[in-house]
Amino acid sequence: MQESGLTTFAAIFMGVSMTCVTILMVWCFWRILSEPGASAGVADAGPGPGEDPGPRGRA
Amino acid sequence: MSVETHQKEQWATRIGLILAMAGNAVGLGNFLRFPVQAAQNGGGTFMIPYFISFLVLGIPLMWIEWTIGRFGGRFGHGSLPGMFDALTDRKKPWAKYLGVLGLLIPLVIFIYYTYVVSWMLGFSFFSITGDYFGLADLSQMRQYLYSYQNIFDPSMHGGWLALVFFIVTLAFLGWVLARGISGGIEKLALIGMPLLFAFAIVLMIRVLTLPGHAATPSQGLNFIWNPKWTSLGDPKVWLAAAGQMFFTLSLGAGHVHAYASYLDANDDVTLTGLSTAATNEFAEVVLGGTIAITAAVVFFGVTGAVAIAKGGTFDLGIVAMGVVFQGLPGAAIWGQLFGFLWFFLLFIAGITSCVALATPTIAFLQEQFDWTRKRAAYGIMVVALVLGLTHVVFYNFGFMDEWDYWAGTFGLVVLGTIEIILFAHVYGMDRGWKEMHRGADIRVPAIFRPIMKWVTPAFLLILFAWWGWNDAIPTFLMKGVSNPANIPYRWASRGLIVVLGIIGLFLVRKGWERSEYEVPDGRAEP
Repeated sequence: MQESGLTTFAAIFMGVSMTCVTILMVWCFWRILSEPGASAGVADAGPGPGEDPGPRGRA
Repeated sequence: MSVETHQKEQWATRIGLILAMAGNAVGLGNFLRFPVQAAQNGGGTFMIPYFISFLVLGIPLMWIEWTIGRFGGRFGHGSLPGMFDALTDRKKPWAKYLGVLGLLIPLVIFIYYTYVVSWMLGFSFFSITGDYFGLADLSQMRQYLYSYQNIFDPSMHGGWLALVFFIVTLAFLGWVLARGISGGIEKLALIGMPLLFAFAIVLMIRVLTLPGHAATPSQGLNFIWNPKWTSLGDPKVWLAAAGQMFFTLSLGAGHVHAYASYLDANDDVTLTGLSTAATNEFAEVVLGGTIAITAAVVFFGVTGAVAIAKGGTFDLGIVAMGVVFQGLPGAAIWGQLFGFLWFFLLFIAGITSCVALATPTIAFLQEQFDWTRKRAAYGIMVVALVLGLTHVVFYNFGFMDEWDYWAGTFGLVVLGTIEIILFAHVYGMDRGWKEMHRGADIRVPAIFRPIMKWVTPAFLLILFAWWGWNDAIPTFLMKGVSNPANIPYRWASRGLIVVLGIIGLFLVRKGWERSEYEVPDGRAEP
């Protein structure tokens, strides 16, 4: 079987797949790099913005 | 080893951690396994079950493994025996013995995978020296590879050559691992991962701008991405996608947990874990999906590429690509250069995974037997060399195939199933969700909570049952072994895994007898 080239559906699947993973990666790194200390120490004793609200530890 | 001793080692930077974890995940499979799986399982439509698997299997399990790892690190545990013990509140004596899988699987994979990665170092050298240039068809290139793999066939290589590159690779790994988390592993990732991406992008551009040969680059891309809609109704395609997701994210082997154990108790795992997975997916879908199969189609046509893909990873990655580089315009210079870029890219991808695979065992020896890192690192390299000799000598007898299947394929699904049941149903989803969100920079969408509790375990149990019935049983019974003379060697290979497992159980028992179990601040685990 010889295809004549990149079909429309192949281009769509390829484009959407590659775009999604690229956007996800870029977004992740943008979030990380926009926070202070991304290239400094990892240890952070404070709570993060996504932390569960409410009292810590056992209820 | 106390909590304090374990946490003396930490990741120096967040970017370094992410690149190290991404290096852990990005391996030969991104560039060789993924494009073959996509092409053989429906082309573009493979991405539908692939992305669904990412959402219901890959990313939930990635978050869980990071969480378990960081949790275990609080108690001074960098390996699964201690982590499983902690997850069960130290009330289930059997838990730590289940965790032996998290030592056995990564160690077994480390040994044979390092040997394969050393081939990439060898072929990088052969590319830059032009050693295989002149062997311009598949059968000659295949013989070149065969002679390298088979120490009893000196037709094209000295029998000792594969061993030399293996020893060099192990020595380098020992040196990196002995330097520790931030001084060794992180530095390797900070240098290696950008190089890997740079090499891959250069190769991608080269492949996409190739002049037409047996086919054009767009026909090569079409071979991978053109959708075959009927494949969506085939359960094997969905299982292939789930399997690929497992392998590509390095799940179910214990080394993600080991890396995460060097985090501080309040370091984020949600955004960092997602970043690791995203980086791996970029390497796989964008880079891996573009280079090898596309080049194979350009040079051998679609029919030729189909045959090469059926021949497996090394037929595509070494044999076919070796011929491709010799056929490039200006091959004398550019072919050698691009050949070096390709094989060294695979070497970097593999070596960054190798350091991760060795980490659980190193952590275990440190925490349970008070070994120094240096002693543990070099000690494991010696063990790997001795046991790896079985692969060097018996490669063509199917020795590695057995290890690759039982540890590197089936074992991952077994351990993945065990850990998610322990996390979601023994430790409990309430506690697990809370633990996951300690220090979190992003909130995991609430939909993932029932996914982690019910959907992912169900998916894994189906995968386990399907592979168990269709694959593991026939494999165990040696059905499909092409050369019956290899059967005793394959049984010996299995026996060696069992012996290593028994040694692991013994070491866990001994380790627990001699170590004190410390908890942070002297309190019971919250």
